[in-house]
Amino acid sequence: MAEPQPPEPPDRPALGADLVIPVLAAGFTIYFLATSAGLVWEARANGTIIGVTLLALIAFQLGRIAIRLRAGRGTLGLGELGYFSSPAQRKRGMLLGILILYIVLIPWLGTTLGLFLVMTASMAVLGVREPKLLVGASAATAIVIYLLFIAFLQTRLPLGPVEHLLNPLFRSG
Amino acid sequence: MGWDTALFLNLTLDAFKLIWVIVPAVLIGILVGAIPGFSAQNTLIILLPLTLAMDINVALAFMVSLYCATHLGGGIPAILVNMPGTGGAAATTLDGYQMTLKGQAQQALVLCFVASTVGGLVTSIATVALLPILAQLGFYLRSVEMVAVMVFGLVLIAAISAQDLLKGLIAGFFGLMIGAIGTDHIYGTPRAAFGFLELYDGVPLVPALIGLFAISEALIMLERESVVPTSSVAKSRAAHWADTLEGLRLSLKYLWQTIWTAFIGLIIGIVPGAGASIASFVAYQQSRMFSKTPELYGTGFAPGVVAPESANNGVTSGTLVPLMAIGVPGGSTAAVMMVVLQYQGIVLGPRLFIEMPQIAYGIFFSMTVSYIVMLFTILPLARYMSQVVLVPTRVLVPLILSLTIVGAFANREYVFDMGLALVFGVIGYIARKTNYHVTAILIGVILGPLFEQYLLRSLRLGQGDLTILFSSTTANVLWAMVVLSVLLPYLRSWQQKRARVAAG
Repeated sequence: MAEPQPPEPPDRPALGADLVIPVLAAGFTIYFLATSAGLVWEARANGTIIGVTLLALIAFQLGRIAIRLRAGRGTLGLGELGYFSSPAQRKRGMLLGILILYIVLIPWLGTTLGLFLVMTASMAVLGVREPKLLVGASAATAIVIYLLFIAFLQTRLPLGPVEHLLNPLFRSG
Repeated sequence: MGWDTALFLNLTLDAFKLIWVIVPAVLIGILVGAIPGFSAQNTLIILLPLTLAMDINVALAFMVSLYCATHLGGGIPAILVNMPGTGGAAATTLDGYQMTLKGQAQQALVLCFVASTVGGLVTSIATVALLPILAQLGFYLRSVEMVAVMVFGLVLIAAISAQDLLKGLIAGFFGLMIGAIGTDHIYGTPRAAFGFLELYDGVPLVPALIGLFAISEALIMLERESVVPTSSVAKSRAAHWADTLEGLRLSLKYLWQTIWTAFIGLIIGIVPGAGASIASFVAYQQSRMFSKTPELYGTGFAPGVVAPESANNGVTSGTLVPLMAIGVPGGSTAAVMMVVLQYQGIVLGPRLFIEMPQIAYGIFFSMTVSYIVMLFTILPLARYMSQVVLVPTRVLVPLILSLTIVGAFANREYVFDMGLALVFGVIGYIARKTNYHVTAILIGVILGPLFEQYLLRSLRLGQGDLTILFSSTTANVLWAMVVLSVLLPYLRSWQQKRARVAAG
């Protein structure tokens, strides 16, 4: 299935994207250092040594990007990360939404039913339209996980209506 | 105890008699290893009631076979879909996945299987012969040296996995910083836990592994129709036994490499806490350093699969050495085995080799047999496994996301960990798109708590003086290697630039 592609990348690389991880890392480091400032030295020694080194590395990276920007060898754009309206980005957002919903609902749905629904919804988002494939693949995954991890290995995965129905048949005790 | 041929022959025969328990353990281990999140130690914990009820020799054979098989299983998804089943297989993604993209998934799988089994086999036999000497190795690396080892490991990983060393270092130190979340080791004060009780024990590794590798890769994979590019689909579809034979030919070609990198794994495995993740990267780096064609690493080069897989299976013997020789488990799986041994009333330590040599050495013989079983069980399956890459991503991506999100829960049984895996998934996705290598972040997260433990121990020894870190010759050699590892890539690129200029 051919999809509209994000705009052609400009000649100059989007250096703003290179700043996302350093900004996240710097933000977290500052949070760590600020919240542990009142603790005894032993409790903050490790964070301080790593944090200061990390901030120094980030400063180098910022300097490097600033030099490239000044020389006109890049832009501050986010590149592919910033194309929020592209089909792939929309699918990504929907998949993450489905997973968040799954995590919220798993205590009620249980693992098996939850997995079945997540698989079905995710495949539908990614363009699977054949009902046999949608139901077959989802059911097979849910059944394998139930049999292997809940019935055989007795992992304490969240239980729901399906597990309550099947456990007397497959699990001892 | 010295070499006793009669005893060792008996132990070999005994180990072969346990094949009925080794085969199912190997199959469970491969399956568990291939699914991120379901680690050997968790499976062994879950199966503890079963192993405690078994005869001690049977229980040991079962545990050790399952443990070794998970190391092999971890390489399968690393090669096929760029997500390691275990942390030890993270380095396998570097060349294994590239081989898959070139339509050589079957060859890569065969290389992985042969390297894993031969590496494991050779080191388990060597361990039997060298056990008394190997047991001493762990004593030479104290907290000061361990700090240097960890920084060295992290710098190596940053240099190997990232095209840009600075980005690799930022990723690695970001991982270390994340690894510092949780209560401190001395006073138990929580740090940077964002108010979540679930983070007081630190960041759990399984959700980090699942998020950084599996979820982020799945989010990228959905942009394509299949795992392999269109140009390689026909090649992958036409996979036949000749590709398995080609993989075997390559395995033979790199047999010497398999053997010496396995010994790197064995030695690193002996150091408590170091483990397969570090061993596989160190082996990869050493293999690249001694190669005549280092530029081919990372492009789908066979030795890039052989070195990490052989090393992470060499670790399996190594982690058991301190357990049997001094009663200190070399890793979490060894700790579970220790529980079973102690439950059976076995006192670990040097006397074990005199009083119960059938247990002390028997475990390594069971390991040897399990590797032989593994090779014959898994090799014929490579052809069929390689077809996974032909499954359309619209089915494969949901499958990966569903299985791994369940895996994130299974480790600690917190729904919170599933959310954490998603957060790491988003971080991993951004890191992949911007070339901040996820492997460096993951290794940082793994090393974080260990690094703090050894750093604090060193600081206590030096009464707070940081120069204690430079107080031993071994540590100083390691620090010099750290500096060299940072400078070498720059020197090499400067040299290449000069050569290009000279060539006109």
